[in-house]
Amino acid sequence: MPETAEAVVVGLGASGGIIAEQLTRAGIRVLALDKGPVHTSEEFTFKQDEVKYYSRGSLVPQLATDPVTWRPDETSTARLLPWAAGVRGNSEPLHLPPSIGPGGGTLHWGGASWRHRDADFHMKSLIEERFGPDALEEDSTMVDWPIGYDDLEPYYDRVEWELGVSGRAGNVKGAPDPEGNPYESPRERGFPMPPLRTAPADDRFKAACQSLGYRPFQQPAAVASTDYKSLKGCEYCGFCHGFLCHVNAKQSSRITSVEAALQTGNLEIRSNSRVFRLDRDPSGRRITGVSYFDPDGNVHQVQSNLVVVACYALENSRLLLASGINANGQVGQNFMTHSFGWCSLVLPEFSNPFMAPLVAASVVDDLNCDGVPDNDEGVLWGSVLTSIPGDLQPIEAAHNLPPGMRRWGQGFKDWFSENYRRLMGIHNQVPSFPSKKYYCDLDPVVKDKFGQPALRITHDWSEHDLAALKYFEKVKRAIAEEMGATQFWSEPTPPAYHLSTHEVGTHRMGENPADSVVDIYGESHECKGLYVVGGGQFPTLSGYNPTQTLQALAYLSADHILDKV
Amino acid sequence: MPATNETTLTQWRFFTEAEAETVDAICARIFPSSDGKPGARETKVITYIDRTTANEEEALRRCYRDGVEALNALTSELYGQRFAELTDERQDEVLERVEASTATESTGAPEGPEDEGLLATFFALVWEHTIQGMFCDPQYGGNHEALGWQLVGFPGAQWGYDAEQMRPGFDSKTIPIKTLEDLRRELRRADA
Repeated sequence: MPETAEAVVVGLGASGGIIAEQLTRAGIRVLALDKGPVHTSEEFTFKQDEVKYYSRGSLVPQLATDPVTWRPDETSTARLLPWAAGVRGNSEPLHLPPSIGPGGGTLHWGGASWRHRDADFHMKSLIEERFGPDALEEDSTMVDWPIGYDDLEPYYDRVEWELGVSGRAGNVKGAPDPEGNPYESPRERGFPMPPLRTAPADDRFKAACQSLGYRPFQQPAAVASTDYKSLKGCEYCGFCHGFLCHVNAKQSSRITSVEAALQTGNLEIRSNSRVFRLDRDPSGRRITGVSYFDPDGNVHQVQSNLVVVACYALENSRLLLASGINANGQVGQNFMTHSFGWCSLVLPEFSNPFMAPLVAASVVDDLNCDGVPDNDEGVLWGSVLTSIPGDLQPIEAAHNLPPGMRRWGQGFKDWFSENYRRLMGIHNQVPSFPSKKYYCDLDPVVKDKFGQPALRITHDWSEHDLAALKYFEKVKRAIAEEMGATQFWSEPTPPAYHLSTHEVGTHRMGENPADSVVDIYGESHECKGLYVVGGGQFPTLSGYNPTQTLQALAYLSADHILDKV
Repeated sequence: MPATNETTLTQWRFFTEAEAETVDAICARIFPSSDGKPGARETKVITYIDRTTANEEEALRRCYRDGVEALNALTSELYGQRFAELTDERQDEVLERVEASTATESTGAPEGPEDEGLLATFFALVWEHTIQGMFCDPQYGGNHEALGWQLVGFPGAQWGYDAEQMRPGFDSKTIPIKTLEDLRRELRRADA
């Protein structure tokens, strides 16, 4: 007799944790299956370990156990992610899928916590109105969102107040605050915590941006500036993005939602449990449960008529495809990601970049979304520009050296000894546009050790990505000059990698079952009782980081499951 | 144990003595010590690499074994000596040549002789491990006495920084460096 469960949640990350908490609070008994391990309190306490978390990427799935392949186009043969495969391994763990185990991506994340602007929900209409109906390429599959900012505002508010976000509001019910984001869409109330103390070089960034006429403000952060609910105030240790948090200042579903769900007594977690199939009734129209491998590779089945799949845009799609749930051919389509534009500066004074969280910093939002100025360079949509003054350890820093400099020898040693303490970064991220050319499917050849097919990504950077990266490189260079930087350089663009931990769109939400995978609540059009949630639902990607929006969507899904909406 | 006996008493976990000598010589060209400041040798990068490699998968171990052999074969052919026996200048010339073959490989141009591709990968691997061995927590065997962190002004494993330390221009070399073992000791003391 297979086991039965009232509800099954697959993946206890940003979305799965929230939904597990809401369901268990309502008295529903939830069985959570997560393919990753439970990280021990010892690991959280002594996380100041760059070799373990950066060089060896111990939080994220590895290609040996979780193969993913990539090819730039359909004429090429996909290979195991070439930027992460081979004996050298991956020098940047976050160019693989995000961290796993209870907490999911909110274990590794930096905690950039953004509401989308109203404009982000109408990207297609706004681009076509402004630049003409032919502005988007022929293969574009861009659509507007089926919901708008006003629909999500109460859910954004819940993320900020139930989970904890620090920051300064710029627009409470239409009343502007010059210290906050002048471009944010109106909010009902401000943040529950004031902004973090900023990392040392941020003052210089802010002053330079102001003198150039921008309106910098401190970015909202899912890092507590003071004790708040289950979070403790940040201690600014600087091992943040890519690391666990030793004081529980960084908002992670592991310590917010999952902990709260456990306290109801209604949540059972099985870690190291890898779901490989979503089971349906003979009609295929209703979910009946899941099948999974335990750590020893034994197969188990759990019956349930409510299954929430919340294991990232990529694995969600892989699981749907491997289960044959793709009647309309839309699963895996509309792959989107951010092309990152990292640049580095050397400052005349000590910047001590190893202090403070990644997000204890200012941003410039003047050029984001439809705020990107008219230009002859073909840039249709903007990006947030972020100061990165902290959270940089020496091993990572040594991987980002000025181009043309020999990476070894006395010259390198001199440069690095002199300048490590004077580094800082400026970052922007260009949202890629959905296109028929960019998608995920099952790799026809590569399988994992259980015989399950690997996910195959077909993606390349578009002309728009390249144009926008070039445009923002000039903007960043001008800021660096104004800051008095003695050196400035950019990482090679476009990036060699095609995973940024900001992948979205692969199980798009929509009202029409013919051209989308889930409805606005995340429920599968094809298979009732099956919710597929996370950034995979996004019709378009914003210039902002995606997490707070997918957290808001998770609260919306939970309300729907509990018949509240 | 007296320091003078250390080298002879070392038991490598993975390397043969000859392999350790070659790899150590490469690491010493990546982070040299001739300026009197700590480099790969003082921070015991070779110990880090030996311990790391001992626990690694076969493909990586083979890259070290084959890489050392191919490098010494190349220098024997060019100069009639093993890599470690060459002068610093000669070693640098060889490594530049090896690194140039990386560039060929990454542009997608036809690959050179098989050994060149192997050597490029080998050198890139040693470079990664040298950086790790210089700046890892000392519990991994490298960054001996936190000399690597001291060199660049990184205070290491800290619980946090206060507002005064976070002032722009603050001299981080005034902050006592801590390792993970120091943090463990502090917590044990607090518990006691």
